[in-house]
Amino acid sequence: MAMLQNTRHIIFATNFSDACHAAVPAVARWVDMLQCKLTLLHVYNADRMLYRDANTQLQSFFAEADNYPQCQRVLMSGNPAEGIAEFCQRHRDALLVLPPSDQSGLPRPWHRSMRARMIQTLPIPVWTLGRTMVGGTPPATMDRHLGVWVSSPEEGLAHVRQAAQYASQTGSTLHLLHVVPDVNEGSLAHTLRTKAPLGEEYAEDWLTQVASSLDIAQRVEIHVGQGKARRELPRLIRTSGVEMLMVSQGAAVERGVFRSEVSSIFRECCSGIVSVPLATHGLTVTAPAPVLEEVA
Amino acid sequence: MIVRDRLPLKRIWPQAWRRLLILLFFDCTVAIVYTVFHHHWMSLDGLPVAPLASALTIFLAFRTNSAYGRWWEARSLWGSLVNTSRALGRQFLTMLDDELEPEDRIPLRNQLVLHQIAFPHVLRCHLRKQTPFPELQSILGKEIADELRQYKNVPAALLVRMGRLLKQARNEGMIDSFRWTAIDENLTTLANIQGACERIKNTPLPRQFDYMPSLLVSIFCWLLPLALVENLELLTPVASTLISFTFIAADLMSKEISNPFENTIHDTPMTALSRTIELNLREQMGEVHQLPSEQRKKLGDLQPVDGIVF
Repeated sequence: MAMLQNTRHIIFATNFSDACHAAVPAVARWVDMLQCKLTLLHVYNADRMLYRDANTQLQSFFAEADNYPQCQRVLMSGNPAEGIAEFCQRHRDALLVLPPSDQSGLPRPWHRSMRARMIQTLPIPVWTLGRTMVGGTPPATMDRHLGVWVSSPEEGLAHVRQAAQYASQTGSTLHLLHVVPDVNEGSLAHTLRTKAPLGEEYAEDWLTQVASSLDIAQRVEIHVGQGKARRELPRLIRTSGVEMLMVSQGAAVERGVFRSEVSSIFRECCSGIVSVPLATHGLTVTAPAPVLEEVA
Repeated sequence: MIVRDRLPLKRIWPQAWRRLLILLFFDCTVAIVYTVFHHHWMSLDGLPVAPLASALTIFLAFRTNSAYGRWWEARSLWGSLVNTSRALGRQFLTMLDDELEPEDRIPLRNQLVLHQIAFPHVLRCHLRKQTPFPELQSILGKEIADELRQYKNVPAALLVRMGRLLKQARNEGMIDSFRWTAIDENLTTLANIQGACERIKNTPLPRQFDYMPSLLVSIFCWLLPLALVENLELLTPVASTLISFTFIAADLMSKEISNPFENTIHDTPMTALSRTIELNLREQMGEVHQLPSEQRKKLGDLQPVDGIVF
């Protein structure tokens, strides 16, 4: 799948939150640029809400989309994560837009990240944001600076190649970003887990090799920082002018003992983040499950 | 725009909780140190804090008024856009003589009304930094949408197009100079509305208005437990946190409404108003009843989502 440029369908999963409203300008730009179909998808809990109310909300959300050439609103009942996954499984050519939840400011001890689950399980790319950007304009792909975070050699180069292909097709500058961890005597365990370089010069050499291995000709810039990734990555994004960041599926999610979360490294990142699935080829398409309620 | 009767706490809490938690911790520390450890020197006479509260109220009221002024002006401008659009629609439909219109093209009057329908949509997208082209394509067709892509200020370009269409109508003898002048005045009103909206969008509240109240609220909230502790002792955190919350909430709310075109819940309901204009003008054209029922349904009024109309 030549990922974004060949995207013919955007699935915007919404719960009508402020974050979803804030993502509307970016989604509108995607739809316009890619000339693709837009599906506004809402999965509601039938125990808590009436179909009629959910439908009214869905019809009123992003109302301007009614004027878009190919827009459909799909309403499903059931578990949101399962509903979205089920719908996306039947649309392998799609890009799933999944904004972050609104910040409640209260502890959520039993919360399980739906975004992390979607990123881990779905065979399609997922677009999200590091944090809720209400009032800001989340970047889409009108940019000419596309970043790709190369966190370690173990994650492979599939997402780098896809980013390179996309940058080439859109005439964007490709920025390879890498953060070298602070090295001290106590952090030797890091070297056991990864073959990532432990010095800035080595990292630059490694990224130069990665850049030269990309067979598609384009402008490539390398940015390396040293320190904590959570602090350094946003700084690299700012200094490089990157407006959208592609990351591998593995790097997008932080695996915990009991649950997975979208990596906290992106929390302060202002750019849109696209998580690229590890493998999109060779997946068998399962028989589509019936949509419970569908509204054209 | 929030239309529900009550403002849920969840709208304020995410921005306020960090400050309140720190203040609560400080309030508890003050209350314990004063009451349990008898450090009475830390008690502050209530007298200097009271004038500070008064001064702060003036600052906050001033800022809130300024912010509300901006919000209300934005809403008034969009109200004026609704009226001007209806007036223009009527003028296009009744002032252009169609006897001379060639039959092989879309009547100029209809073209003009369609441009007028597109204008509020385009202005809304322009103010919210959203792309207007999918909607332009839907209303005016792909050719015109593509033509307008070269412009940075699409609403202004659309007004120029309307002016040109009007000039064409005049050249073809469909309107005289008097009628042309009357219509052109309304086009100028549209340009003025756009200019005023851009002024609000591009000019933030003066930083002094914005910064000073926030600073004073913080100072006041830190001093408050020291002034209350002598009388309230261990109950100080309860009263102090509640009073602090009042001031912090006032500070936050006035900040939020000061930007009425920022794609937030405090926005002017531009999507709903654009749709109202579209519905009204299509009715004037007599189009609504000819539309398929699904499309007619889509043109209906927008319902609030979770008490908010966008």
